[in-house]
Amino acid sequence: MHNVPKVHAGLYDDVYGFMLHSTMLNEVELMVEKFIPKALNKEVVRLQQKHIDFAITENYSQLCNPDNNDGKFIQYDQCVTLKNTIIELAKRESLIRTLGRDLQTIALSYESGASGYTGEKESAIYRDMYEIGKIWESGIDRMTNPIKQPPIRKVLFEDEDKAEEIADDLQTEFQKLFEGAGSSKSELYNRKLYHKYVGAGWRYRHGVFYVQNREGSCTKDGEGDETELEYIKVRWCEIEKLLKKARNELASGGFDPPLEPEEIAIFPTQSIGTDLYLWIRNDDAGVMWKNPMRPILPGLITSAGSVSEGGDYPIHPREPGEDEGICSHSFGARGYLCRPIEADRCISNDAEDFDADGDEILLTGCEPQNFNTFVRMTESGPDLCKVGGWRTPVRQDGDQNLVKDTPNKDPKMRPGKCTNCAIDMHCGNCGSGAGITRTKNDKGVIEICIEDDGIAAPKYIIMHELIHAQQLCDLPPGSARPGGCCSREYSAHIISCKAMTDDGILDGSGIGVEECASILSNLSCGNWKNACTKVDVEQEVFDKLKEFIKPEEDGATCAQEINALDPRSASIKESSKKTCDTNCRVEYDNTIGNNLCYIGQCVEESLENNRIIPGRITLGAQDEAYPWDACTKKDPQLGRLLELPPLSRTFLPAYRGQHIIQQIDILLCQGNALPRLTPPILCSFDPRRRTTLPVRFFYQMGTSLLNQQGEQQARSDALHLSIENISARVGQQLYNYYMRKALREFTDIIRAANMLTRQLGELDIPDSVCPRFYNGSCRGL
Amino acid sequence: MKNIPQEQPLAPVKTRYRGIVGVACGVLLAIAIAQSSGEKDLLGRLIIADENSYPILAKCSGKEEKQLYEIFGSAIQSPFPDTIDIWSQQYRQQVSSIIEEYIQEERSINCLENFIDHLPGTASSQLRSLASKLPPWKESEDLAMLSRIDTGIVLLELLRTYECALTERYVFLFTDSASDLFTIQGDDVWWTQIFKEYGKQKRKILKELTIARPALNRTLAIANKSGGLRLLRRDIECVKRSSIDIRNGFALGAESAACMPRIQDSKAPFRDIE
Repeated sequence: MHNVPKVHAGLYDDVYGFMLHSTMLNEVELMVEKFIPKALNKEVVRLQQKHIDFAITENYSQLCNPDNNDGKFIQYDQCVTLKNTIIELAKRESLIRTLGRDLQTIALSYESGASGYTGEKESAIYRDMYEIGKIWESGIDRMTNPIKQPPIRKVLFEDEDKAEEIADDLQTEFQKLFEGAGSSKSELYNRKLYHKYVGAGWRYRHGVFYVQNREGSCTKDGEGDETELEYIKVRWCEIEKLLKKARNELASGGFDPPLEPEEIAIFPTQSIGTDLYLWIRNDDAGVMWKNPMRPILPGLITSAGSVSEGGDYPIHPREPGEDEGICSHSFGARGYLCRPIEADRCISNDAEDFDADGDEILLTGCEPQNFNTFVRMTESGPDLCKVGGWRTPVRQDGDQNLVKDTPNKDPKMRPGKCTNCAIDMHCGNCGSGAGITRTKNDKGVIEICIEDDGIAAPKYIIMHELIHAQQLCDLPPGSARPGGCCSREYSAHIISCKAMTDDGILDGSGIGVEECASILSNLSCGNWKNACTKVDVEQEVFDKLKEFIKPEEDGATCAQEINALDPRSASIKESSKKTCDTNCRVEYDNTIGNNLCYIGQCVEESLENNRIIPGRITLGAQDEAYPWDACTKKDPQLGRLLELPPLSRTFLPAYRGQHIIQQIDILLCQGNALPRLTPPILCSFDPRRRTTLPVRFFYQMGTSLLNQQGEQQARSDALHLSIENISARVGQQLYNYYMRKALREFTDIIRAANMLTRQLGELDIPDSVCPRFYNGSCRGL
Repeated sequence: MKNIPQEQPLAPVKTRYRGIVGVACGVLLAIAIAQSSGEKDLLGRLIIADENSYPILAKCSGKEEKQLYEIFGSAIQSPFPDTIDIWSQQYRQQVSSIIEEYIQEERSINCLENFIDHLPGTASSQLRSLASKLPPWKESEDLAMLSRIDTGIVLLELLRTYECALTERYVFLFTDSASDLFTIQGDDVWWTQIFKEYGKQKRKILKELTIARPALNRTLAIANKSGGLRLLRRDIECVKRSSIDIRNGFALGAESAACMPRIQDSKAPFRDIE
């Protein structure tokens, strides 16, 4: 496979080639060379490809040599005219093509590795970030994170040879798309036409099924609509067949354990020659450039072989929707361009100096509502990890004989050794439109009633009500849940809304997790419009949410859901049990967050249920039971100056392109001592500069006027050289602005943790325990 | 390619011909360059670039042609194929291979090692070899400070040397191209041949002066993205590994925490075992 044509010769060589073609100093690119003879078919000679390079190098002896022109003799003036005509056309086409490549180069230099295409070389960063998140997050985080993050799984091919075979077949198909041969161009990659190859290389970047689902099956292989932009849309049937084969035969099933709803499996990429790679997911397969330097340029020769004369502005390709294009890729979908930003993270809600006055490009979309921030209230202490699920269900030794929860009422159900309550779910008409959780009764049982035809599917109502049961479980019988309605309901709704979002129920609604939870909190607290929100929810949004979450007619019933609890509900139920009891078994995924949940709950249970300083069994009625309490040392007041930062949210500042350009215009004009003029070319020559300030001699006046153009040119050049630096600084400023808040808060958290750890290290821990017999002294403690 | 004696060095021959006539021709050519609008842009651009205050990217000193001989070694001892072809080919190869090396994936990451791109001594062997031939890094102390992150600046310094050498050759091109021909063909050289050779080399010099700088600038813009991400990638990989360590630490902590209630629920003084 070494002698196959390729378009990528190495980064520097590629760029060098682009520059060579843009300057046209000794050759034009092959496509332009093929185009000009077809476009200029009414000249004095029958133009051939070889004439083009003769013209641009001003090689008159060859251009107008009768030997190169079917023996025809050409006058000198005709020859000059011919040369000028060719150069003019070649310059125009080269300019357009250079512009396209420059834009691609700029985009590449900023976005390469950060775009989120599946299989992108630098996507190791996203993958590692994702894995770091998985190592750190607790089950509670996963259930309450308002951003939809479908799980991603790395999977290896069962049959790697087959994957390589398909990649080889694809390479063969791609090689067929090169055209032309025999050119004597100096650059290797300018000896074949590669416009079809480039078009096909970009066509399936989002996947073959992505294309087929939107445009139907492939029927016209390699045929376009003969417009300048046809290669954006041309289909390549043979390539599509192979891509479908890759997905269907290598990635369609057999995952162990089975994929969760919306979970994505990503397979290793396969190289297709030197330029492309094949990526495969469980839901699609596609092709992307290893080094995406070459854009699809406006066509000069159509797929039918005719000349594309241009002259019209082609219809713009449609802008992709929120879940299309790059947002259809697993990692790309997590970018800020692919999801709306919650309202309180939006620029319009921030008291910064940005205002959308039309001069700005806002890179983010905002959620429409601005909601209250809900505060969770607990009975005692932080109740770490007490809302949501972080444990995996386990049948504990101590609870072997517990009554199993059925879809009916279970009057014999009682709490086990490891629980403070028993949760008895049953189906029926609860009279609430969804479900209801009753307070813990004298027997320690919390009853939950679930409706089959509630506002949402029973699965999500169960999750919601189980959170309410968690809120009640550790309280004494008959106690009401702590906190106000909104805080109680929001905690429960955020988990059910996240579950619905993860399961794709809210896809296409434009309603985020937090917005869903806020609206439903309103509904639960008596007034769907504004019971819990600062602003009124619009009727349209409320109706849309109801429409999206309503249960499917043939969906699972309440009884089915109770009999086979969703893993998330099972985890919530499990997490309501006691944690730090040596007789009870606890299982959870080994993550930092879950470990901290366990440690935190142990600390809480120890502090709430036990004494830290021991007592003694007294002999006499008036003896002191806790004599060592008096020996307690002074509180070291760890973290007394601890200031935890508020979790304010960072946002992307607006990109004010027009403003920046205007500033550059000002610089350009100031360089010539003129006020800003648009377009800045108006600053280039103003005779008043000299005529209103005449010098003594006329010849000096004349020279000065003549030099004016040169002066302006030098300053323009200087500014031109500076623009890149100015742009880099503007970009850096935006980046700093974005990162400043987030980093400052992160730094504060790290600093606080560091301080606490250091103070703990400095703590003077006694090296002796409390003695068996109290002798009236604290000596030695 | 013509068969020419390889031992004949180019510089002494040039020196012989660079007499008064050569200087006069050079001055005339320089004036002609300054008056030609297209070439004026080029020179104007070079002058602006040389005004950079960064000490490494200094002005042309007139010694760059000699430096280029040193950098590219013996490969340019022969005048044909002409010097510009050899220079451009060598320059392109040097830049291309260093860039490819720079953007190459790092194969293994050692998080415990202080190997960070901006630390001295992290430059690759190719980069060090090139830098050692350029004035700013000729001293061993300076070379020792060279790091991988200096790739761009070394290449820009090579570019400056290349551009200065090309410009110098451009100024003396007429005599240099004539001397090349005399070296190869002896006294049997026609004026037309000299003019033809002069025109050919002039076009090549202009081409290189036009393309080399923007090509390198664009290349560095792309390569730096990749280089920057590599640092981030390594950091993230190390964060991932340390996260696993932290997780294991907390897992042990959780195991210990299981004993908490028993330790602290000590109503009776059973813990006093003395």
